[in-house]
Amino acid sequence: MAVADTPLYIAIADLVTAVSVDDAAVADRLRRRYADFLCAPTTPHVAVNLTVVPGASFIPLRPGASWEVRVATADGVTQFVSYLEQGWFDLTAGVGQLTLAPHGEIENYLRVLYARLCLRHDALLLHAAGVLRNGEGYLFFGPSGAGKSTVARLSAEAGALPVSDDIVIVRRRGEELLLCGVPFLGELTHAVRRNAQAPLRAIFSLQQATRHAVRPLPRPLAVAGLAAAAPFVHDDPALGAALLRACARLATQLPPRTLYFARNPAFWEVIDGVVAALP
Amino acid sequence: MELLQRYPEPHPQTAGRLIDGEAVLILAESAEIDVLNAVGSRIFELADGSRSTAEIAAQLAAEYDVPAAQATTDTIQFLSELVAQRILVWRDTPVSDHV
Repeated sequence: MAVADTPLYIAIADLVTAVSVDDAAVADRLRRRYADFLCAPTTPHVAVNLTVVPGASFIPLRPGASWEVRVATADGVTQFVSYLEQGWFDLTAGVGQLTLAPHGEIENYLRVLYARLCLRHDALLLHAAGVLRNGEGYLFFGPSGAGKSTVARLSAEAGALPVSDDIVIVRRRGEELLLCGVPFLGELTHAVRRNAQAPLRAIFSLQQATRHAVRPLPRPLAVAGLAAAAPFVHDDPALGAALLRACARLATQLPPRTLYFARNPAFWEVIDGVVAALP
Repeated sequence: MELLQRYPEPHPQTAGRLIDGEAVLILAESAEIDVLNAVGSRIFELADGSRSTAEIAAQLAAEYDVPAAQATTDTIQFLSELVAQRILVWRDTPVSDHV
């Protein structure tokens, strides 16, 4: 089996994972897949050894079943298993291991890893749409079906630049909050994903309506909504406490609002009006 | 042991935080997220393992100016619901008694 000569350094929201792959073909596939997020060799936050095993299968595939990812943490080590991938990581030690079939994917493992890595670095991985407009970032969160993809699509029609229609990272740089794109595609293989960052200007919970409006959102509801939008971190009470703390800081720094929107890009006129009135 | 002499505290699998006087909870076992109303949040805040149910009821009676008997009944009912939902657990002794 050919061995890749150097690790891939993947930087997502400036958090770096070095992935050493023992299979050149898989390494090439990952290099293409994460091309926009590769960075120069550096000291990574996590170093992952990836082993490719032909025929590997860890959960039996069942037709019609929803995609399954099992995650459990004990003694600081997070175990991960899905259909064609199985591994673990220890964020305190900064190491991990992943075994996968030749056509397996590293994506779900990285999602879990980054969801938890973010909480250690004053950042949040969120199921949310992220949009850049006039050099500033806007975050739209809500449960599945709330309209994240719709808002991202309509934002593009309004001349804004979507960085993602369903998953982003918000991280802190000094006193500033940054909206950061991620490479994760999930089931939306044609989804918009951009490696872009911008100062976060405003956050909105999404509510579909017949006319556009923006209303204040009580902070407790905003924190609950943001926490609900954070995947892969609800199973551990310690992570839950960190998650609530991070969401509370976010909802304190940027007053949360609800965007009531109809299916046309004119909701940006309402948002622009709200933002123009901000200090 | 009668509930009035027991000491409610957060379930070890529950993370909670008071935001503007309302408790936002993450229940790790069920991955549920709840927001308690103002009175429920105050009870959750007081249920830190150091106060008995009777002490919590007495404090609520004073704070909300309700008869002691009503406060006791309501407090027992609400705490029991939170225990059933695995948001709180009962202790037989206060936290400070444990070394």
